Amino acid sequence: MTGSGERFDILVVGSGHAAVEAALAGSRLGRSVCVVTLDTGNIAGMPCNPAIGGPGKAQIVSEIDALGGEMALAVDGSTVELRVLNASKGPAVQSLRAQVDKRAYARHMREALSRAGVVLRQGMVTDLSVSEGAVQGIVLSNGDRVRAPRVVLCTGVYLESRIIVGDVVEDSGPLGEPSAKGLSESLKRLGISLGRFKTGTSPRIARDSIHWEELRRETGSDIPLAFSFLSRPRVWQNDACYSTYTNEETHRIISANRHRAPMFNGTIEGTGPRYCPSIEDKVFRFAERKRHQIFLEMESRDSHEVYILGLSTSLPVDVQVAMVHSLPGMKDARIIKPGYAIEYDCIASNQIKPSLETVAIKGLYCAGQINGTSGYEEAAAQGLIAGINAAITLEGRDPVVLERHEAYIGVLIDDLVTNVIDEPYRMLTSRCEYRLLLRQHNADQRLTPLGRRVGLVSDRRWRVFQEKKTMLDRGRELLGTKVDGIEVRDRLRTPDVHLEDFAPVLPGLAGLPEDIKAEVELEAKYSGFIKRQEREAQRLRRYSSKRIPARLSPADVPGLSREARDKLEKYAPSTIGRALEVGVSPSDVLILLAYMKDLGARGGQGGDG
Amino acid sequence: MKEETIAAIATPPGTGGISIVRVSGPDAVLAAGKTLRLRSGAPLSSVRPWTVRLASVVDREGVAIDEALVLVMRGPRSYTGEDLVEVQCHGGSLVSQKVLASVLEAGARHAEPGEFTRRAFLNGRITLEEAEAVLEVVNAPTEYALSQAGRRLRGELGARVRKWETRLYSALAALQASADFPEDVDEVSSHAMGEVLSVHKEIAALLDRAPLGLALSCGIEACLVGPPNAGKSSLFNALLAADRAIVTEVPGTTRDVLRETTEWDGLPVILLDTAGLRQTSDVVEIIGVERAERAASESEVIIYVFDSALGLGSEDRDWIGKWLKQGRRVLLVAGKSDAGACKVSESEMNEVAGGAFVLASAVTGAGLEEIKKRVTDWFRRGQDPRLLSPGSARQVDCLRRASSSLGEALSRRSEGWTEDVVVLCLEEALKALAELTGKDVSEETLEQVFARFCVGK
Ligand SMILES: Nc1nc2c(ncn2[C@@H]2O[C@H](COP(=O)(O)OP(=O)(O)OP(=O)(O)O)[C@@H](O)[C@H]2O)c(=O)[nH]1
Ligand SMILES: [Mg+2]
Repeated sequence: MTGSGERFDILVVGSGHAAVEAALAGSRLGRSVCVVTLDTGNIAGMPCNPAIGGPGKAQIVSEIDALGGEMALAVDGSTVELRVLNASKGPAVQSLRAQVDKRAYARHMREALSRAGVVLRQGMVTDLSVSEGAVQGIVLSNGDRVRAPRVVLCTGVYLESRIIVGDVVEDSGPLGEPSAKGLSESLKRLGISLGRFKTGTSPRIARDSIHWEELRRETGSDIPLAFSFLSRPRVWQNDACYSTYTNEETHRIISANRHRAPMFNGTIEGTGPRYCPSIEDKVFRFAERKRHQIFLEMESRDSHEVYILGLSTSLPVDVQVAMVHSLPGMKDARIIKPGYAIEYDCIASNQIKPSLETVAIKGLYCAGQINGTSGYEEAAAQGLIAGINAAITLEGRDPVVLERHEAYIGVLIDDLVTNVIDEPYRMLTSRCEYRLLLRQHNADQRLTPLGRRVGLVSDRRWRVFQEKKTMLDRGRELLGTKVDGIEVRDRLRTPDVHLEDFAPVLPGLAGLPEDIKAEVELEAKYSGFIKRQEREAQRLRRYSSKRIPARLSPADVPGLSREARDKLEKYAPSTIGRALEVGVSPSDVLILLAYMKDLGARGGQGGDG
Repeated sequence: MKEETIAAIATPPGTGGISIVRVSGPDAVLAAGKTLRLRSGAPLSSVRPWTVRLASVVDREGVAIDEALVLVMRGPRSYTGEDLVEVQCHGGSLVSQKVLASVLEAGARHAEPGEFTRRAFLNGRITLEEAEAVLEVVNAPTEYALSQAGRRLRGELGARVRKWETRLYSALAALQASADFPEDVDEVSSHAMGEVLSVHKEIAALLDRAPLGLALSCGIEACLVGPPNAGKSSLFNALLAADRAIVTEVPGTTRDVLRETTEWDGLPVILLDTAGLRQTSDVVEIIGVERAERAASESEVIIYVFDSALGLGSEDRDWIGKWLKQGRRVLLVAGKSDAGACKVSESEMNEVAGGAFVLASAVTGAGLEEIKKRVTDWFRRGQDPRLLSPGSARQVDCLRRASSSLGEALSRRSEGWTEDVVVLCLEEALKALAELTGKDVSEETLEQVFARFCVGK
């Protein structure tokens, strides 16, 4: 096993959505970065649906953008249809969802990597080299070694993966690629414990075998929209999405083959995502529902594959064929690739710190599905944070940790590191307490200044940000205008009064772009509720900045749970907020606080009793 | 550094039948052992937990001064969750003081108010609701109050709140699912908002019982005020059926505020007698009048007494008007009703006091029962004192916040606000309920709760 002697600042293992953001962030922060992956032909692929965004996820994409990440730009460069979900349910939950051309998306990312000077290398990582608790590099299956003080694992669903279709089980990755062997063993040897999760996808159908006229066309929004704060909004409508429903015949076929479903007959051991159920799961769990909506999405202009959203399955191929044929417009449909379930290893995420560095090994970071999440957006967000932290800690800077009231990304990582995730974790608006503060459209106002300090926000992005800020201030000032003795701002604080109503008396309004008008109107309309959430966040912050004295020894605190004691010992959190972050439960924190009060009361006497 | 051992006398001071010294902490048995000698001569640590033993209390020279019953409990299966020793001493406080002194000398620290129960809570032996109820049971002044405290000690309030939480969480989940899965969830069922409405109603019903619950656990403070010589002290004595306050025909007799606890119709009442309200140059009386005013402004019921034969002056009307305007409960009493007709007509009294007036005599006892009934009715409001009601200002505050958030959720929805706002209100309601059960308590709450404990509990 001779080393090639190659050396980088940061090694990124994998080339999915987490890996791409990690590599770009590291490289843009001035570090030499090498991406090692099983197949350099597969960069930022979409093995599941060709779509990005949706409730909770869209907010993440905008936050990545605000910090200087790439995902939103890649979406805008490859969008096919773009729409707003939850438009009527309020600003806290409103979210964009884009159907993208998956090949164009991957091309965008490949080009971005090459522009950033990221080195791509094909190979299977089988081991990590670690010395004195710090990572030193990786070992490839052919014995090659590559050295780096920072390694970011973004192995996705490839670790010891198995593909399951009916009773056919194969050791393989999603796209017929090999499964990643060896690394799991290496992690275990290093004291990291692993879990096993499961996810799945739907069959792909040949475009020309579908009777499109029998389906309903879903058109994108006719209002100009864009994901990135840097992109010019536009209308995206491309005749690329259709919808229909399953029917009783479909459900009958599924029910009749229940015994052949790997989900139910014991073939699958991994825990699947409750929030992304397979069609057989849906049919059994919601037996009272006569139909489920499904969407047919074209995967790419350059491909004749059609994705069926809502029909994820691991039933045997013959059942899949019958099921698909029972759908409207699909009696002649040809399945190009059957749906499948995939099982893979992931690490119990409470073994990583809020910086995404592993607790066990210095310099080793994990991002994406290896941490138990599902979704491209969730993966990309972690990749970005891991990439930033791998890079800036090399300069001795403190890692970036976002708080729950600052970003969905903060909620995501906090949930990961403080809980033992027992199913693939998908972001939802309901996971976020301060969702009225963390709107998709104010992600730049929340995070771009941080991104600038970190060093990822380009001059161009910074300029756009400041221009928008100026416009917002102008708009806010305009709302201070009194109409009949009452400021417009206050008049807007009821649901049925709109900013447009004041156009005749506010000539300045005409000069403001639509998104600015919408944003300041929303700020005014919801100001009461926004303030309430801000107060709550502040209360939390005061509490969480309380310092835990270094002389406190967890073993001496009576009543603490064993789990809390272990965590306090392991992470030695410096504040109550940190203690909560590393997963000490609120009731344990209370006990800790009461003890600290006693400790304080007894002053420096110590050692008594 | 390990936890300190604490000790205190757990029975009220004075010359009762027995008094108990409580010692809790890792060295409890050791510290208590310094002053106790078992008959067998074996050390206290050899006593089997949960058995009662007779021991001699010895002074520093080892001379036996008394006998005591000793109960040794071992943590975590004790009230505090720590090693706990209880020493029951005979008679008054002298012996128990000596036992305490020697335990403290052996290294224990005197317990702070509520510290035993606080440790029990922190060691996970009792919930916050139970901790509060312990306080209530200890102080329960009447039988009804005791049964209320008992209900809460058994966690009935918490159980009811948890049921509300479950229902609200399912309503919340329905609303959130429609936002998180717009493709799969059609419309939010009106069922969800129906649940919110019905929980809101149930909380309102419980809150309706808050005045009664607080009256039961804290007692009703009722303050006798009025012009000098109106007969306040005479009424005070008559209502207590005791000769407690000095009565003379000299105006300005009462100076200090007198407090007595009594029971009216099953509700604990703290009755206050005060100096007559008037302008005066007497230095002592001036202070008395100030105290009277303060007592009135802090009490829950103001019983304004005037002399029927003298009628109501403009000053009287000013006082009453001011308190009524502040929303205070004022009961107007035309005193000395035995001595002749009242100068003020009933319709006028009705007007001045907003309907709440009684003709009474301390001499004949006329009107006394009506005074009691009027006062307690304000709190009872026709309710059964044996049913569950909230028992502390903290609980009432949490319920009130939950109720107002639910009310807001309902009204925001009908005003046409977006669902995210309705969800926010529901979450606030759930947070208030979580605070009530102690699932989510702040440090301040803990402080408040345990500051109310007397030492030794
Ligand atoms: N006939 C009659 N005399 C009463 C009654 N109550 C009080 N008196 C007399 O009125 C005088 C004053 O009584 P107090 O009870 O001392 O009056 P007070 O309001 O406490 O007076 P101050 O403490 O001085 O403000 C005494 O001589 C009492 O005997 C009553 O109900 N009937
Ligand atoms: Mg008197």
